[in-house]
Amino acid sequence: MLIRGLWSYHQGYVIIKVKGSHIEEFLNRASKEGIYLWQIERLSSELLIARVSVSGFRRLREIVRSVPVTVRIRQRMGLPFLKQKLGQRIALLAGAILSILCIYMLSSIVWFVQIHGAEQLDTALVNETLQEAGIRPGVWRSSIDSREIEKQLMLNLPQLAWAGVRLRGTLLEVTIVEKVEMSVDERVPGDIVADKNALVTQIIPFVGTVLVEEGETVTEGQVLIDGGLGGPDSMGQGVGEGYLRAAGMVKGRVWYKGFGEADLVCYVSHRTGRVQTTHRLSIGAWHWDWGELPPFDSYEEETKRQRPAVARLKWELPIELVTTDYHELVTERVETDPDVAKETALRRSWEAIEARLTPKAEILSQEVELITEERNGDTLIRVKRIVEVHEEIGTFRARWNREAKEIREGSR
Amino acid sequence: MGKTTRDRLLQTLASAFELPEDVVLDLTRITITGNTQFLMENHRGILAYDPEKISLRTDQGETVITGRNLKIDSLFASEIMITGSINGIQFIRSRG
Repeated sequence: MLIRGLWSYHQGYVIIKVKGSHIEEFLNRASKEGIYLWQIERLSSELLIARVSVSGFRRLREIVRSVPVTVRIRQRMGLPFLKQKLGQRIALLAGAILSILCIYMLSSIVWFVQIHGAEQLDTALVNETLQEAGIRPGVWRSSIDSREIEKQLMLNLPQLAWAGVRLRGTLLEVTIVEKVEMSVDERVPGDIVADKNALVTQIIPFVGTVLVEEGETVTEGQVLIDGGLGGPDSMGQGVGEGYLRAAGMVKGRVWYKGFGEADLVCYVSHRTGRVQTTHRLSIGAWHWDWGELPPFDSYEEETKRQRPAVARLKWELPIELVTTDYHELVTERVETDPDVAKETALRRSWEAIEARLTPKAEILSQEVELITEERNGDTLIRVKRIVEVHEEIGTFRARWNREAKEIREGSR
Repeated sequence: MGKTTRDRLLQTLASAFELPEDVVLDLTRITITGNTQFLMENHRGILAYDPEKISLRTDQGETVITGRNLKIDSLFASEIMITGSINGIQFIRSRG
């Protein structure tokens, strides 16, 4: 079937329409003459459609003379006819060839360069390096040697641990992996200092010299464990010249003060339901407004921006419709229950402290003072809270700041 | 009448030498695939053709194929292929 179809397409055939009352006789004559007919279909008692080769069609004329039927060509099929048609339409043929060439050419150019995996590193820097290596949108695919680009990237960007370049159609995918560098903070020498005013309760030094004693009061910024290599009892590994990176755990008692207040009367505004709507249509730099501004004393704005976007192309048209709804507001005076207000003030005073505590802080004692105040004719409940906690107070401070200062002073 | 005597003789010969009868006697050979394809070799022409019924002339008489959407897929001097939904095949012996 397939072979027959291909062969007849190659040789060319015609679909004929046979009309008349002696169709069976026509078929018998044709087959007797050795004319091959196929896909014969009777559409009505006097109409038949069949396929016949070009040479067969010529020989059918003989039969038509002796049998009272008419034979018409309905359609010419196959390669010879296609050639003939295309030969008459050279422009079409040239256009088809040209468009195929165009597609071929356009698809052998790199149009997009994508860089994945840049976290610390600036993508622009990677792009620059790629451009130096001759990679930018618009270069021929054949001119790209992935291994060579990878090498170039690795040589020019010391921050990279690995670089991979892959061509996917017209997209050049550059995947980079950055080296994980130890943060500067983890290597420099320095001291452990107090990060808040406290009463020292416990010191466990790992590296460095302890400068304070348990039971001593320290102020914020005071050195607790010194990283200097001065003392004969200093131990640990040396980092930098003459300094260590001090380490240790210092705990102390810290007092926190927190305030919280709550009004007994508050003003709540809510929408009345009246809405005024305005529109703005902008195209590029131009814009048109319509709709009146609201006549309300107080109102709330709600803005909606609509941009027609071609989702598939991730491309937005420079047209924007901005709809602004103005909702009228009324303000109402609401009186709060004194107990609820007190709760709120208490909670706020705690929240003010909680944010400053270290996560592992242990609460030793709490003191709460309630004050009722009059302000602008409204009653106000204030809460003063003092919390005593036991927590870590030491924090690392790099030494090189101090060192730099000393050097500068000495050079003068 | 002489023809039938000749036929009888050929038939005897064919069975005696175990030769295929369709070759010796020019009998029709029919191949049916499912109920969609009907192939007949050694036909003698089409007597009637419409999409519901096709009558073929053979040496033995007439063969009638009934069905729906019957089409002649190909037509050669001695071979005919019919496709469509075939319901029945009937053999009618000629009067002679």
